[in-house]
Amino acid sequence: MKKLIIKKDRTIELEKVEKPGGINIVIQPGVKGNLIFRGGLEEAIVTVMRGAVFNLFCLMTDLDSDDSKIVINLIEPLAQAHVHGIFHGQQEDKHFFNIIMHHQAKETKGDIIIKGVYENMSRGSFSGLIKIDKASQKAVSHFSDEILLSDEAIALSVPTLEISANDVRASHRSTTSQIDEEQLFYLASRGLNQQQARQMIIKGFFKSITDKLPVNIKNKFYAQTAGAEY
Amino acid sequence: MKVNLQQLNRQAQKEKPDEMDYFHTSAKGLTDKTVKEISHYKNEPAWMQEERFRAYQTFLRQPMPAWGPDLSKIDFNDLYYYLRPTGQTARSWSEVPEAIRHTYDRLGLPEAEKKYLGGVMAQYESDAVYHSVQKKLEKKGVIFTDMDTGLRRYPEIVRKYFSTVVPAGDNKFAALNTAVWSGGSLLYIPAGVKVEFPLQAYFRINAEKVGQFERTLIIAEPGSFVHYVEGCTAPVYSTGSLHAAVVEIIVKPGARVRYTTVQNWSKNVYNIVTKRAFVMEEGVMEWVDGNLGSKVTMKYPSVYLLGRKARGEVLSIAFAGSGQHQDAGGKAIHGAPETSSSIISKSVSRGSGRTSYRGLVRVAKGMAGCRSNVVCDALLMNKNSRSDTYPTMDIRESATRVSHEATVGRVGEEQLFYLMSRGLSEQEAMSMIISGFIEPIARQLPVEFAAELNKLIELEMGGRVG
Repeated sequence: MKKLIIKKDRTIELEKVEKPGGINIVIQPGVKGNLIFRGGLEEAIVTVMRGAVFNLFCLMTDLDSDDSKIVINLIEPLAQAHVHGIFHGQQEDKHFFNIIMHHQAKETKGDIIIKGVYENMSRGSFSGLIKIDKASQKAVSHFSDEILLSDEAIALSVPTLEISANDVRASHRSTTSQIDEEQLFYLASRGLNQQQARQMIIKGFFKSITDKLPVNIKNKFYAQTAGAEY
Repeated sequence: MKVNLQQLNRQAQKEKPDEMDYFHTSAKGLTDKTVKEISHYKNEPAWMQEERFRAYQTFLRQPMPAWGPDLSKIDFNDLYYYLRPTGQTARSWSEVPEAIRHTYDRLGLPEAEKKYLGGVMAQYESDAVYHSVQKKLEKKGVIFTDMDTGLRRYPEIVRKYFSTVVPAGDNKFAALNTAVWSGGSLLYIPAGVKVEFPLQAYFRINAEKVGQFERTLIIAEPGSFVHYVEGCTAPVYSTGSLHAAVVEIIVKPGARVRYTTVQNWSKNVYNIVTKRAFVMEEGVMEWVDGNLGSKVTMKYPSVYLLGRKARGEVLSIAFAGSGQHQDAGGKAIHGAPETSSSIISKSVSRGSGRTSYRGLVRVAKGMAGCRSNVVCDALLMNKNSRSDTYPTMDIRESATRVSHEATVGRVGEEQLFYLMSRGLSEQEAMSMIISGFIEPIARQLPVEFAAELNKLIELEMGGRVG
């Protein structure tokens, strides 16, 4: 397993890896590390130390099939991790995404926000576990996944909480629905065709996450996915 | 008088079980012979005996559940599978044996009946001993009887529906129940009949190491309505006991069934229950489920929505004190278009208590216009408490709207501070906050159950009573 130690603030981009394997990342105390992840890895284990901040952006928009597992260990007090995911499945894409946020020390913070759009015959499967150990009092953690389905697409959501400390706040929510007919109608009445209207709604749906991307990554993301017009 | 019910329960739990003469006790352990004996003593038709044998074979083949609470302490060979306190089902209250009447008096049961509640059917050990169905129910054609009598008097109904909702192969405990079932209720509501008052049945385990395997079957014909209420208390005894019940409900088109349970088994009982309802077009099924007692509970009331516009609701409260594990939840299977479901779960863990929510929402392909909403909230009281949430949403149809949310937290400091600044002790403030937390579900309970529940919370919190 490849090992990566982040000692100073930086952004790392992992391009789609042809040969799958694992990666082990350590964020040193007080350091802020951003990771841009585009799938293709089997497993990523991230260790976040005292006061460090880990930002993970998962941009899974162009993957036929993916099976990623991400484990984030908040091992020292005040460690933080924020995970943002954009998933777009088309044709017969199959995405399996498994994330574990493991709070092992007090006053740690974690949040996971996933937004997915699944079209045609694609399939998305999301499992998110928030685990708070007994030693991790005053932890705050949240998981959310929002999926829009259309056509014959399938979504499976398994958000899980395992809470062993009492003075914490932990929550998760999960919604699965389709593109709102009223929104489509509104845009159609303003002269957009079905395809344009859908793209605009999807772009808006992802906006809350794309807005958080570092600006160069955001530009690159829009350039790469110009066809889809996010 | 109702408010004393819980107190009486507590007293009853502290005291030794009444000594009773058992008319028939099968030997400990489970073999072919046990199954045959049960069937023989009950003088059942051949098809039921075959059903039991088949289920027994299934039970032997099925593995123990690989997930969920620790069940390794259950020793199937160390349980009695059939006990029967008296020779015959008593017809009126005065015919009920003294010892049993005494126990029920302590539970305040006749009080409840005297008030306004409907046909009370008390289960003492494995058979119904007291059974009174109000005359007006009979006039309307409602059948409300214990399952053994039901099988004798209405074999065609039992045969038609038995094991159709929960087949013996469903899980190990459903198979066990089918093999050795005894007692439970048969409830049949003819088309268009609405039963205005809740029908109640009290269950009770009394002897040590008694396995209780009730089998309940409810059939609501089109356009009918019934509210069935089941509650249980058990006195304290030392070694683990197993309660594996099966409840099958069929809600026909346009009918509505509400099934309320408050379970307060003593804290050494394994309570593993399979509850499932099939709901047809425009039918409504509501499960209201309160889990307070037992050592381990595994109970996931399910609704299978099989007709257009069918609706299912599960309301669940779990309260786990030290040493308890409440593994509860709900399942909604959307098998028809435009069906809707709602699951609301509230749990409180105290001491080393552990609560889990385990749920499933499945929307099959082609079932357009389904809606489902799941909300679970958990409160953790102490630093050793634990709460887990394991929901699964399996959505195979895009024209649906499914949402789930869960929160876990503790009682807010500000809330406590506010109440204490108004002169309440910490315990009083705590029990008031918990009562408020479960209130959305508690108000769905019949009034005496809600009163019992609040009282129990006060008692568990160590506060004063009354």
